[in-house]
Amino acid sequence: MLVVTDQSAPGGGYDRLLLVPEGARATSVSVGAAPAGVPPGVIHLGGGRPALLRLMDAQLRRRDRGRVPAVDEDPAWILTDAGHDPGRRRVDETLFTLGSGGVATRGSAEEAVRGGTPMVLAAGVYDGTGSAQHLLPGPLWTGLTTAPPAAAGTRILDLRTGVLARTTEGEAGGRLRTLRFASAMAPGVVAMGAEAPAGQLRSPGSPLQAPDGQAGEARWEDGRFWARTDSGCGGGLGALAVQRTSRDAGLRTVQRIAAYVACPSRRPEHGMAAGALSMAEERGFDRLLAEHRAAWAARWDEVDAQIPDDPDVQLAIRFALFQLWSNTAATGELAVGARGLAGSGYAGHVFWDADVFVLPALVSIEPAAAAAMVRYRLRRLAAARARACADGRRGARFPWESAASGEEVTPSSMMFGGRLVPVTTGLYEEHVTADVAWAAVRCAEWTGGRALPGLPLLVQTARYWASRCRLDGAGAAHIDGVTGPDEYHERVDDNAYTNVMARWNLRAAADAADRMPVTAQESGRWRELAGRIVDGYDSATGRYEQFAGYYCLEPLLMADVAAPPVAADLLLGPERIAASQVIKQPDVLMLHHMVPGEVAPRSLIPNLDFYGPRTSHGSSLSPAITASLLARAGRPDEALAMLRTALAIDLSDLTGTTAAGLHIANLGGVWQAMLSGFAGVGVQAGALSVDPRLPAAWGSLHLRFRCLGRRVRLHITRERVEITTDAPLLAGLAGQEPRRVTGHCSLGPPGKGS
Amino acid sequence: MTEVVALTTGADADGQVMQTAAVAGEIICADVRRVSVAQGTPAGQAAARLLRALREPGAVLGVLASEQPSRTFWQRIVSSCAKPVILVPPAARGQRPGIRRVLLPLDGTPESAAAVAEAAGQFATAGVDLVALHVFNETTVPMFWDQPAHAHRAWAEEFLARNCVRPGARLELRTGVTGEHIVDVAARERADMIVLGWSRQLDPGRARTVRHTVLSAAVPILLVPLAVPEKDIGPFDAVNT
Repeated sequence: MLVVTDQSAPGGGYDRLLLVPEGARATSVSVGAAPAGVPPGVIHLGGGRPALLRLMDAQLRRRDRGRVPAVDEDPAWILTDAGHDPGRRRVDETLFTLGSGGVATRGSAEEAVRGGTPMVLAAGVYDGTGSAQHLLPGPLWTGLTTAPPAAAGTRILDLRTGVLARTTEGEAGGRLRTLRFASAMAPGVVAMGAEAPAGQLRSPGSPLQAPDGQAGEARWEDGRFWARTDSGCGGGLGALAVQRTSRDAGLRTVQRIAAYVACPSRRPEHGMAAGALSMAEERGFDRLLAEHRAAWAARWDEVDAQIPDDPDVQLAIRFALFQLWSNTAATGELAVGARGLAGSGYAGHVFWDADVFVLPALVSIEPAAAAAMVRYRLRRLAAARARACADGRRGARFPWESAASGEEVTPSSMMFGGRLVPVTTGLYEEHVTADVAWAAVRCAEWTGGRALPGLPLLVQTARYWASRCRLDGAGAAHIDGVTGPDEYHERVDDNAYTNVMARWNLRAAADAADRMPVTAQESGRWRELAGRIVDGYDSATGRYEQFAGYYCLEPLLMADVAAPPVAADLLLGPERIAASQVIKQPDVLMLHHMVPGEVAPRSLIPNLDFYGPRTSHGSSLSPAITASLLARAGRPDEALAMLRTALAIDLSDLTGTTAAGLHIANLGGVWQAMLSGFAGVGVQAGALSVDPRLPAAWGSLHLRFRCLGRRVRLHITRERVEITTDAPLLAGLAGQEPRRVTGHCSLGPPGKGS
Repeated sequence: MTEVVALTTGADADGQVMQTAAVAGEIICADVRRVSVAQGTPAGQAAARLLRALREPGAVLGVLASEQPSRTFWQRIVSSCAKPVILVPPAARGQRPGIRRVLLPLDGTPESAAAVAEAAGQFATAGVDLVALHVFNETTVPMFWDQPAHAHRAWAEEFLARNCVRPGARLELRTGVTGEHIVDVAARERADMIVLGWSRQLDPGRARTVRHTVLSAAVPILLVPLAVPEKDIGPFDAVNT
């Protein structure tokens, strides 16, 4: 921002009104006479109106010649990489990923650097077959050639405006400066500006490069460059690009714009990107950037977390929101891989992470993207039905790992410790089938529409569980031979999580039976069977046994093993860990997080107290949800400590794998912890309830989110909970009858837990 | 002129020492200089002669039998010498000539990676297979390990990118006591040499990995001193190397 004044004075002048705190980082210039000097931070140029005109002319010339704009280095919104640690290079490439419309670009340096892994990936566009199926790398658009090589410098990811900026060290006019963005206004369109001394920034060749060894095509056509990578599955990822070079004094400038087109099952053609590129080209770099910034401003106006007493957590939450937006798309179908689009890790395979961790966050951030996730599952219902049929069951069984077709793509084995180790999750982790149904219902509940697009999912998954249960001689229903979320104990009987989720699935389907092609007899059978499913609950202790026989295992506590979070299975070995009560992540407790209505009242704390000391948190999914549970249990300070761990997983590369992509489910989990955990936001029967639990370190919490078709703002302090909505909404504090609220109002003082 | 300095003592091990020195010399393009001491030469005198030769500017590497002229002789040499030294254990006698594969145990610290980086580069240039080994223990085990097959791949790729950037290098992971796994993996992988970065500290309780490897390995061990001051040596070095 440039502020130009002509009546600045140290203590007064009309223009002091422009020098507001919000503009503290703006460049302020006085063109007035200023005989008494100018206020601190204001540059005195003098020269009056002609100087003002010259200044504006200079600004116009900068734009005309493609100079790179600056970013506002507001510490509340930026992540910075000083570039001095080569070991962090690939981590920062992941953290600085930019994306829109389901196409994302890792934040790699523009020039080729040792160890760098530049990559463009698109949601749902896979290559390969079977368990080797992986996301297809697309043409790269950020490459530049510099000679001599660019010096070290600083890169800034500005979350507020969605741009990645870079400035190398050196004298002004001798630096390489770049700025890039993935247009939030025009999904799939990306743009980059660069400037450097003409002798250093070599004349850019083609604006797109094919990734090494990837089949495809590349050619100039009508002054535009087209490149495409081809998938063995018949799909592809193409991009059409233009670039403009210019000079300003001794600087060479480059402006590059590209439009991506991603097709999972057919080869994209040049013409499919032509319209988007023409529109972007017509707008030009500066207007595209302005619109992009405005789109991000609109996003943050609708969804944000403000924690005045905890700027570190606030920034990390904003990072989570930023990457949830950047790694998803709000149209078509959306396959959210375990590492998002920020890297090749986990091959882009879709796990329960998507349904249980990402979707519940996304539905309050970008509801259309959550709906697109449901469509991804819906369109793979046929494959899930085929799997159930192959297993001799009815209905649909979803794969533990899913990719293009919806068939099981979980690897069946791996080498570890010099031996072939079977991977059984694809065989036994059946709870994903209920998780898919749960996500569809969750999406419908939070968006508030009457329609339930995921209805077929609910029916077919219920049919699966109905055929999966075994009735014993006493008429009780069991589910044998499954693995729950705690993967340290494989192929167990009556896993509480699986059984209760199946029960929920059957009941939810029965409740919705009047909207489905289901006979009353069948829905009646579902309801009756649901009531027979054992869940391991003991009313004397208030605890659920995680699975049949769990209590007979060695009562090992994490205090006897190592300080969590830790991959206890690697430390103790699979046999020892399976024989002990140490668990990988919340299993029983996931029920309290997901389906609190299906578990016994007041059973959260006894289960938290029992399973907490036994949890290694060796899954990256664990800390965020545990933070949410601790907050709900009235232990917000413990919750905050756990939240900080979750927030550091990628930002501090806690486990040495962020280079392979973001732990996208954790990012969804931390937003869930904020919303469901600390703020205690819930939606039931079309009404919003709030039940905050603030840690001692937070005097207030301000949340903005989407819910029930409304834009909602909550301002939570220890004294009161205030709500603002953009349209009438049923809302209230937990335990109170919800009431219709409009505009801004107070819901009253929070419960005693906060 | 660069030289590999080989110590012979008139014992049975001399042949293997010279063979190892010749192979190492080929890989690093250095001549082999033989330093001979007669059988029965006091260890102090033998050590002084070898260390004097290794202090020569052109000397880049020492080679000696791990048990000659005495069982603790090698400790005197490697703790006093700032240059890499290859120890040829008795079990290596009769080993096939040449080096086709080396094992690089790495603890994940930048210091240990830096210590063996040059050697790894020379082996890679010579077309030798590189197998890195990392052993998880309480201090090095990752915090999170989600889906094992995917986590393994992602973790291994990044570990190699940070610690052993050589085309074709692969990583073996184990859990437990480092020294025991080094010998076991070297045998399973049919490695012809083990390359260990180490802190040059042989005080009681330290260098357990080095001691165990030297005592138990059936292939020559290249010990490369870490370029870190004593105060900066991390817990892994203090406990295991």
